[in-house]
Amino acid sequence: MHIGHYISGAAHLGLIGWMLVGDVFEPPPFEVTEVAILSEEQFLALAQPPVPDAQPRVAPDDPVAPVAPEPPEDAEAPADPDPIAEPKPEPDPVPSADPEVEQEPRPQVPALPQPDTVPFVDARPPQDPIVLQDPPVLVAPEPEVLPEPEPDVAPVASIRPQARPAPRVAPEPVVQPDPDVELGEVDQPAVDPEGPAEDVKEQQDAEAPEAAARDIVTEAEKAEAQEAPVASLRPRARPRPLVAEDAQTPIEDSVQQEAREPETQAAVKAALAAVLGGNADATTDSPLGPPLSAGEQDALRAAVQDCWVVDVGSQAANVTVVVGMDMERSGRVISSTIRLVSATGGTGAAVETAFQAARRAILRCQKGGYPLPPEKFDQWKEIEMTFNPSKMRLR
Amino acid sequence: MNVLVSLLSGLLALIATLPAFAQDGPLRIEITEGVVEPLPYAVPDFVAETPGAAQFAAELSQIIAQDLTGSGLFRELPKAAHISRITSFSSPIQFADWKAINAQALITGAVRAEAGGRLVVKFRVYDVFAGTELGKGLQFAGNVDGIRRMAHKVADAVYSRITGETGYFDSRVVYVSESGPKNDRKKRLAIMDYDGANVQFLTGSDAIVLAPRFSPNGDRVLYTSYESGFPQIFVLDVGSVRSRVLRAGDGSMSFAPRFSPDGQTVIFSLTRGANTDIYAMEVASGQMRRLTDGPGIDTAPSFSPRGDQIVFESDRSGSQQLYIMPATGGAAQRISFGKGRYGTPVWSPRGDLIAFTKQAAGRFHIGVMRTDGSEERLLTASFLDEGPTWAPNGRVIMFTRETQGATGSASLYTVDISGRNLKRVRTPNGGSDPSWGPLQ
Repeated sequence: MHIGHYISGAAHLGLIGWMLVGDVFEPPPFEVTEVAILSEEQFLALAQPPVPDAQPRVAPDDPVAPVAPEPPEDAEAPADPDPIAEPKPEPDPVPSADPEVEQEPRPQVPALPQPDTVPFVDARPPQDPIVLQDPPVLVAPEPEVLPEPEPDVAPVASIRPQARPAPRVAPEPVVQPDPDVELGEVDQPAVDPEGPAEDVKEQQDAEAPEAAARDIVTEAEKAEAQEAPVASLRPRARPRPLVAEDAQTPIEDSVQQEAREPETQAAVKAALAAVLGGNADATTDSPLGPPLSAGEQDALRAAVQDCWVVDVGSQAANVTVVVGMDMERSGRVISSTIRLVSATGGTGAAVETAFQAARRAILRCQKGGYPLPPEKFDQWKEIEMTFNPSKMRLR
Repeated sequence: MNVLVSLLSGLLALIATLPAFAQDGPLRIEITEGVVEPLPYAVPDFVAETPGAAQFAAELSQIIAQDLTGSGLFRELPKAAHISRITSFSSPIQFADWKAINAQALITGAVRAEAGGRLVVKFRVYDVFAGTELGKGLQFAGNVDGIRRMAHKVADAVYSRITGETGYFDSRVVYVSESGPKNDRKKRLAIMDYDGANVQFLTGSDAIVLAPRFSPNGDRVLYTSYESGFPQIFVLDVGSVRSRVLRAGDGSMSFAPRFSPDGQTVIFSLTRGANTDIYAMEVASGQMRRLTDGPGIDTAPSFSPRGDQIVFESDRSGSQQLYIMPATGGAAQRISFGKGRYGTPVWSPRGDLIAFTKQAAGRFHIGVMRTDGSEERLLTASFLDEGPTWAPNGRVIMFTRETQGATGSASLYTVDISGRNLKRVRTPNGGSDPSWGPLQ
C-alpha cells in the first residue's frame, strides 16, 4: 500500500518538476506582423493601379467603353496608345517584386507589388490622374481579366474577423424591458402610489378557480356557517332499549291464531315459490363461484365515483342511467361494449349527456384496470352500473 | 303446525343462502356520489390556413377558452402542457397524447382570411376518452370585426355538444351604466356582450334611467325614465336607438315593465294615488287592462316562459312576498314563506325555477326556488344584491351588487344556479339593473 503512495508521490514530484523546469508555461510561439503606417498620399498612391499592368483595374469602372476586348497580353496595344504609353517608363512592379519579400509577412514589402511605393508615386507623371478620370479613352478589357491581377495587391492590414454567431438563448426575440423593471415570472404593472384615489382604493379580491368538491356550499351558506351559534341545542335523551312489541302485548287468543293460519301459510307458500322461481333462473344464468365481497364492490364503486363529474345545475342531473359493460380479466373495460341499459328522469339530450358523463367516468378511472379479484372474474365479467345523481342535484 | 312452519322457515333460510354463491346476471353497482368539478379540455391555437389569418388564430382560441372556462363548467389545460401540436385541421388526432394530460375534450379549428376582410372559422370537438368526434365539424363566416361573435358561436356549439344544453356566450346584456359619486350619479342605458365587451351607450346621462328589459328577440328594450320628472316607461328600438314613451295615463307613475314571451304585451306597475297595481298593455294598440286590484303594492311582474302565468311581489300580506297569478289576472297564490322579504322575481327560461332577491337579517341574497315555492336556495349574500336576470339557457344569473359606504359602487356579477362560479362582470364603469338578452 505504501509502495503505491511512493510511486504516486514520485510521479507527482516529477510532473511538477517537469512543469517548472520545462517550458510548459511558456507561451507558444506566435507570429509577429509588422505594420507600417502610411500617409494619406501613400495610401492614395497605393490605390492607384500599377501602370503597366493596371489597365484591368481601371477598366471595371468603365462600362461605357466596351471597345473590343483584348487579352491582357495585348493591353499594350490599345486603341489609344498615349495614356498607356506613359506608364511604360515606370518600373514593372511584378518582376521587380522580390519573391523573398512575398514570403515574408512583413507588410511593407508585400503590401505593394513594388518595394518602392513612394518613389513610384512620385515618379508618376501628372497626366495619369487625368487619364484615369477620362475613362472613355481607355480600352476596356474583358471582365474576366479583372481577377487575374489581384494577387499583386496585398492587404495593408487584415480585416478584423467577425465574431462567430452564437446560438440564441431564447427561441424568440423578446423586447428589451425597461431598465427600471425588475424581472419576474409574471407580468405585473407597477402601482403608482400617487395615482388616482379610485385606482388605489379599488378592492380586488383574490380569485382562484373553485376546487372540485362533493358538496356545493353557496356564498349564503358560507355566511351562515361562519356565524357563531346563538344557542346550543338541547341534547337528546339517551335512546331507550328497544322492546319487542309482542312482549308487551297480550297473547292473542287461539281463535285469532287459527284465523291467521291460512294467511300465514299462503304467505309462506308465496315466498317459497318466489324464492324457488328466482333461484331456478339463477342456477341457469348466474356465474359460478363466490360473489364479490362488500369491500370489493365498494372499492370498485369508489374508483368510479372519483371520476364521475356531475353538473348539478344541468338537466342531466335529473337523469339516472344504468350503463352496462363487459370486462377484461385484467380489470379493464372493453370500451366498445359500454352501453346505455336504461334511463329515467329526463329527455333525450339530458339522457345522452348523463350517459356520456358516466362513460367518461368509467373510462377515465380504469387506468390499468379496476381493482377486481381475478379469481372471481366470472362474477364481474359483465357489470351494470347505476349512476344516480339524486343525492347531488339541487332538487 | 309449528313444526311445519319451522321446517319451511329452515328451508327458506337455506335457499336464501344460495345467492351468496351464485349471483343473478351481471354485477350491479350503484353510484350515488360523484364530484363537482370543471371538465378539463384543451383548445390549441387555431390553424391559420392563410398568411393573413395568423393574427386571428390565437385570438379565436383565446376567446373560446375564456367563454368555456368562464362558465365554471370547464377547465382549460394550459397550452404548455400540450404534447401533440395541431398543425393541420384535417390531420388525425393523437388521442393518447391528450389522454396523457387528462383532457376530456379537445377543440381544434382553423381560420382562413378571404378577400374583403372576411374570415371563415371552422372547428371540431372530440371526446378524448371515447376517441370519437362529438358531432360534426362546423364553420362560420363573417367580417373581421365580428371575430368575437364567431368565437362566441364556436364556444356555444362546444358547450352545447358537451353539456347537451344551449349556450349563452353569443348574447348581449342591457344595463344601467353608472358613473360619478354616489350623491351625483350619472345613469345611462348601455348594451354590452355578455362578458362585458363592446359596451355601447343607448341613452344620454341627462335623465335617470332604470330597469331596462330586453324584448324576447332582443330588438327592443323597455326602460323607465325620469325624463319628464316622474317615472314613465319607454320602449327603445335597439337598431335605430330611438325610443318612444308608452303612455299609461296622465299623472300616473309607471315602472317595472317587462315583455310577454311573444313580445306583444308589456306588463308593468302603475301607481295611482297611494295604490300600485299591475297592468298589461298591448304594445301595438296601447290598450291597457288591470291585472291586480288591491290596497297593497303589487309590482315587479314577470311572465312564465309559456306566458300563461305571472309572478310578482306584493305586500298584501303585510310583508313583501312573492305571488303567482294567471296571465289574465285573478286570484294570486303566495309562494314564498321564508323569513325576510322577497322581491324582483324572474321566471327562468326553463320554466322550472324563479330567481328572486331576498332581504333577511340585514343582508341581501340572490336565490332560486321552484315555481311552487319549494326548495328555496340562496346563492349569494352581501351588503346589497338585487335584480337577478337569467341567461338565455337558464343556467346563469346576473345581478347587481352594491358595496357599502359613501364610496360604494354598483357592479354586475354572475353566479351559476348551483351557487358556484360567482364572479364580477368587468364593465368600464359601474353597472346595475342588468337584463340578459336572447341568444343571437
